[in-house]
Amino acid sequence: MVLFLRRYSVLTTTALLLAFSLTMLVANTRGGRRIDPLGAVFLEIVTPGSRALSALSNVFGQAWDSYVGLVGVRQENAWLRKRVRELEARFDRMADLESQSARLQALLDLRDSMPGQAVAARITSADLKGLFRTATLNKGERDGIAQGMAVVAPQGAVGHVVATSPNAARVLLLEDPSSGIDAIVQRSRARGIVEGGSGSGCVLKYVKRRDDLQPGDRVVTSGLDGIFPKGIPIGEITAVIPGERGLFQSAELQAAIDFSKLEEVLVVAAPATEVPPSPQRVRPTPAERGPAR
Amino acid sequence: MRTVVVFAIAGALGAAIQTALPHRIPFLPAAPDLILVLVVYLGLHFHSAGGALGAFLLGYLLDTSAGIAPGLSCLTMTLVFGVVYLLSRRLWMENPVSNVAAVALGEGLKVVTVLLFFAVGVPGGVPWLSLARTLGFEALFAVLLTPFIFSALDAQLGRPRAARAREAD
Repeated sequence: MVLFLRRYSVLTTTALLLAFSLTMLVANTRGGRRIDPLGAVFLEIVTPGSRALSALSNVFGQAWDSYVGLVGVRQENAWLRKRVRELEARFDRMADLESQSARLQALLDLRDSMPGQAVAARITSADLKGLFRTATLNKGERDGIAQGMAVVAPQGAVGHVVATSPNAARVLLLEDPSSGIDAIVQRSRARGIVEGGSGSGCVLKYVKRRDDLQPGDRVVTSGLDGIFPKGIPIGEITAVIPGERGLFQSAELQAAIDFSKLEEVLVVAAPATEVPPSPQRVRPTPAERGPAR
Repeated sequence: MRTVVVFAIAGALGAAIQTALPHRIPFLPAAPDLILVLVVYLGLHFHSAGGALGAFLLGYLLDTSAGIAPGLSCLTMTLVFGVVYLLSRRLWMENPVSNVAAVALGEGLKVVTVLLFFAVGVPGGVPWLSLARTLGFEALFAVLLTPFIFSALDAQLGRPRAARAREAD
């Protein structure tokens, strides 16, 4: 027996311990008398280590939390930046819409003030730097636009239609040298013809030498050329050029409209002319002169 | 005596790590079952009644620090010790791969025992999926750490394991 126990001491001990463990487990699970002879001792042994490790892991946990927090802040920052960009884009769109709304409202007001038929159109392209200063509109014959019609904007006269197609129209701008509008100086009622200058401005020509012209004078359409309604602003005199000889004097004009910023216009049918145009005063329109260039 | 001290310190440290660490580290799904690794080491290299007692006490330590029913870890660890002991007497297990295999086997035994206990001893409402997941991660981490723990124990106990095993036999 002793020999057997010595030979199989490991297995015997293991079997005994297994039996004891099972008994302990069953007893403790069933809720009867609790068998836990070394529990308190072991708890005392483990507690300091647990406490130390807990403190250590607290430090680690805080570092981890801080790191995760930092990652969260970075993500939040990225999200906020994205949101700011979106809001800025939306704000830009809204500002654009607001500006467009104001322009269209002004155009509507102008349309209401026009005596005849008026068609609102959008400028789809404009050549402001080439040999000819022209713009293309997104509306044409189908919308009632015809050659020779005046084109105006809330700020003032733009030009007149020189060519049309069913869905588009070409406008010769006021600044083009071949353009001509019968004009009148608001203050002195002096009459002349506004033509495009060689640069970016316009020139008021054929004003009688004795008429009073002053820098700052506002020039408007006279309504006598059979194209533009009366009283549409054309521009402001910036310099008077007195002729040394001859019957007429001239003046440089700053156009009322900044053509580079023009987006919407009104195409106006020729008004009933109040006074028949004087042959000396009104130059033939490009349409009358020949085919549009 | 040195062996007892080393295993006492390793056991206390292992139990503390197993019970204190997981809930402190958010990304850690479970702690490595370090106690089981120690028990397998005992089963492989300490073929004596002291080894069996050591395994039992290590299980008891775990029960005390984390268990709700004292006895479950005692039973599991003693069982693992016994099986590993029997295997190591018949198979050559003095290489890292077989060490890892022994720990994996021990983990398997533990999983079976624990699941059996929950199936029989705990009436209803057992979160099987969560339980299996925890046991799986414990086993995985234990297997991954086995070479390092065995090396550390070898270094602490101061002599080649094979010689020690032969001496114990």
